[in-house]
Amino acid sequence: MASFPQWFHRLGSPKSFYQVTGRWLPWLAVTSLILLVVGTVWGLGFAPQDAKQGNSYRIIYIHVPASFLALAGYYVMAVAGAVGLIWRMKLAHMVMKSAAPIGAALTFVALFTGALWGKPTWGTYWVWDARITSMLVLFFLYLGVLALQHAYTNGDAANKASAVLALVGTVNIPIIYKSVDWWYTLHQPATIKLTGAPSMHPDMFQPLLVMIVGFYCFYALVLILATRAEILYRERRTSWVRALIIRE
Amino acid sequence: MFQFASFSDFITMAGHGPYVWVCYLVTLMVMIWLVWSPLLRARATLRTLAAEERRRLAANPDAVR
Repeated sequence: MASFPQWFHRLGSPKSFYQVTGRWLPWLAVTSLILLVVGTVWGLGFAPQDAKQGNSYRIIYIHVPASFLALAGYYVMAVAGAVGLIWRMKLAHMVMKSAAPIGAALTFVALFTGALWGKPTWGTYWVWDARITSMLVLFFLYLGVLALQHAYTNGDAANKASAVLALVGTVNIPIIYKSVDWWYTLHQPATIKLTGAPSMHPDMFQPLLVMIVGFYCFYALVLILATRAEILYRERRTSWVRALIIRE
Repeated sequence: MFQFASFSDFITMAGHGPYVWVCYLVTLMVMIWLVWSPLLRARATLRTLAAEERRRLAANPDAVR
């Protein structure tokens, strides 16, 4: 445990985060590209057709991973906001700010693919079902954090206000998870559970697993890219960023 | 095994094709945007700084880099 404060401190410094993640980027990019391409081809062409839903179910291979990351991304944003508030860590605020547009984009993908999946399956693009409505609230929470970040000219006030909103918004997360159990409406219950086997045939489940892992890698990649862009901008007056330009 | 008898079957997906393909295309566009926009932003920041540096050197050639 003696080394814990040291790496925590190192990763907490924007400069060392920038240097360390620069080495990870090619690996993350290649891994996520391979997983996403394999998962997409497998899911679109080689996974068997669903007996009830036909081919429309193939949307699951982006709908479920995007929904997972929309939720996981909210944890990332809220935890980063909390770390930034408690330890006043600059890097944490940069991660929180970078997580907001990514989370909003993935929540949009989850809602959009859900709507297009709903049309052939339920006969409607939209219902005010508990799961769908709570996901829409999640989308607005992400937009709220984004708006607060841009509402202040004072960066410190923007960080604090959006971190508080992100933390308050975590109330919505258990509601989303439990919505399919509490209100048994149109949206089907979870396909994958931590306890017990997935309610899906292995031939359909395996490509989904590939896509989920691919989306996690992709999320890490774009969060790191966005955080690095934020670091460069906020640290543009420092000597180490100056040194980067002169080296070019 | 490939699940479709022909390429046109694969595209139409027995009537579900438009829903499936629009989902994948929109997701692809969102993902490309998520990768490109931070790269463009980082490049813009570095370019602005490089231009400032050049102006500073031009105004004062004796300045230490």
